[in-house]
Amino acid sequence: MSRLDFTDPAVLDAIAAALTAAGVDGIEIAQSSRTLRLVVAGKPPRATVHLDAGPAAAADIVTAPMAGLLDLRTVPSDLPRIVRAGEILACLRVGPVLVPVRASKACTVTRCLCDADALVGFGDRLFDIEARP
Amino acid sequence: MSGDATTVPAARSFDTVLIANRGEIALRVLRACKELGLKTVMICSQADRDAQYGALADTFLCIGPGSAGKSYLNQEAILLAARLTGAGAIHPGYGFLSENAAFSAAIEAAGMAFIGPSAASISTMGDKIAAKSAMMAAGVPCVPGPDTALPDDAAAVQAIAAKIGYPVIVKAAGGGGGRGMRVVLEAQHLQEAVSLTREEARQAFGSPALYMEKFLQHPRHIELQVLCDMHGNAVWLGHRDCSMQRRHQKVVEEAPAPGIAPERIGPVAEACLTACRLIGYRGVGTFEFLYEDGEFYFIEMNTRLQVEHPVTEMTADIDIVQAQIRVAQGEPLALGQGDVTTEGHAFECRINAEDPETFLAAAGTITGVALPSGPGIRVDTHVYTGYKVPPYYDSLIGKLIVHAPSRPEAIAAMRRALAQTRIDGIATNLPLLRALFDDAAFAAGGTDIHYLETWLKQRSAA
Repeated sequence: MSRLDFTDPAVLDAIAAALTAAGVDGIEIAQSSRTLRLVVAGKPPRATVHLDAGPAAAADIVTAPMAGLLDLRTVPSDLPRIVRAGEILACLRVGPVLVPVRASKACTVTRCLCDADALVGFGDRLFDIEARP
Repeated sequence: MSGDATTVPAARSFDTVLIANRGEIALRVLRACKELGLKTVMICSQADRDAQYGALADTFLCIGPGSAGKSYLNQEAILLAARLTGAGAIHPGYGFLSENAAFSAAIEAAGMAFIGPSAASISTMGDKIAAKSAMMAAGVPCVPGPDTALPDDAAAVQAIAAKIGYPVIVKAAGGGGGRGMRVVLEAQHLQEAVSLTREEARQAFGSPALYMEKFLQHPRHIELQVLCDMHGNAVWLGHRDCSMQRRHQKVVEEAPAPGIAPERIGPVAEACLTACRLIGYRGVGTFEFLYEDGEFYFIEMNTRLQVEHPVTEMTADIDIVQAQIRVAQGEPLALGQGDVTTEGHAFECRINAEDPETFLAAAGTITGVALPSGPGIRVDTHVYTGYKVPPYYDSLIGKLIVHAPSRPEAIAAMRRALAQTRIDGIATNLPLLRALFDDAAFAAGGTDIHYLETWLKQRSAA
């Protein structure tokens, strides 16, 4: 186990930032059943990941890391599509600048959740993916 | 002094305004834009993305995570959002980036309009020493003390304090909000106070520059609302009393300030307008004064829209936010000083999501809301049943404003309005506000800036 000081605001900030970056916008702790639930950002009804739900769920989402126009021209459009970790899934266009959106892990992209050239905001859901071993 | 006083800045036409703020003030600005026929882009953080008010904007765009530093204070993300959405102007609201000179400059450099003053004006007024110097040049009354930074030489500092007369207050030139200041009652404590404040200023504000003034013992906080265009026109819209403060945070504001004779404040207001013309000020601004024994002493100028602007809107019958936008579009003021009249009396209560006893911020979900209505009652708020108060931002969740023909009638109206107001599910300061409006000294008017803190201590001791 680590020796993190959980009373240190800097440690809490770092944890909060990591959870936020992962799309988590809330933690629910139910002590009677001894479960911890991470509430993932999204449109209602919100997706909930149950950490004590047995085998890890394979379905996941890719969210926009910033605001921009979703540019799908640089990637193949056929779905489902198997991608490697780090592979470009789409780009976000801001003026002449294209910012790549990459897969954080090897996965299968099953669905694109936005139209091409749509204006998307930080944290908007872009793709449904299924993790591959 | 600003270098833009001699030239009229180029007005920029725009039909879309990006609102770089959140909560009640974002809604307030949105309303003004709609009434002027302008399209709106509202930005938000991840913590605010489910807020219902976002649906009222033409575009609602999330630009970053919940922490303000990564969203509402993220200049690059805001400028990118403006570019993405075709906004031609950015309204900063209050707080966040509203008094950030670099932000104003970056917006103008990107070919958009900043709905507020120039970067030069913001810089001048953000530096307490430069601001005091500008005010003295315009004849605005200032607190006794030099308009230059304190020297490093301890003996010279002692001489300045002796000339002013104790008690004195030592302040950071770049400070504000009650931080970076110390009161010194006797000469023997001066050197230590200067050393501590200088180090605090260096760390908190990036500059060790300090200045010193006479410390007033029982002042009131009186402020003047001004409105200036790009063509050298400037008017003042009356005065406010914001003495009811806790830890330098205003709790209740009123307009006009009770017991201030027009012949006393008129010349002060004229000097403020002279200062505006001298620095080439544009947009809305507020001159804040301490007032004691019939004398006004300039504290600072806020180069933005104030939280308490509605009390002036109610008494002067002017939409200040619309006027602010029209100025940014290059329009000359639609009224001269002779057209400005004020009527009746207005109060504003700041409704905060906080414990009324401990003042700790209270995040959580609002489970029920009842708001007052009727003639002379205005509620500026973004909350509703089911709204989740996020933990990241200021605790202000609404403003309750009343307007009546006289101060006693306005107090009675506010008592009724507060009795009708209910916000369930989270702690708020409503009980404190109700108790305050039942207080005899407050009802008599003219209480000083220390009154509320003393009153709170006496209540907790009882």
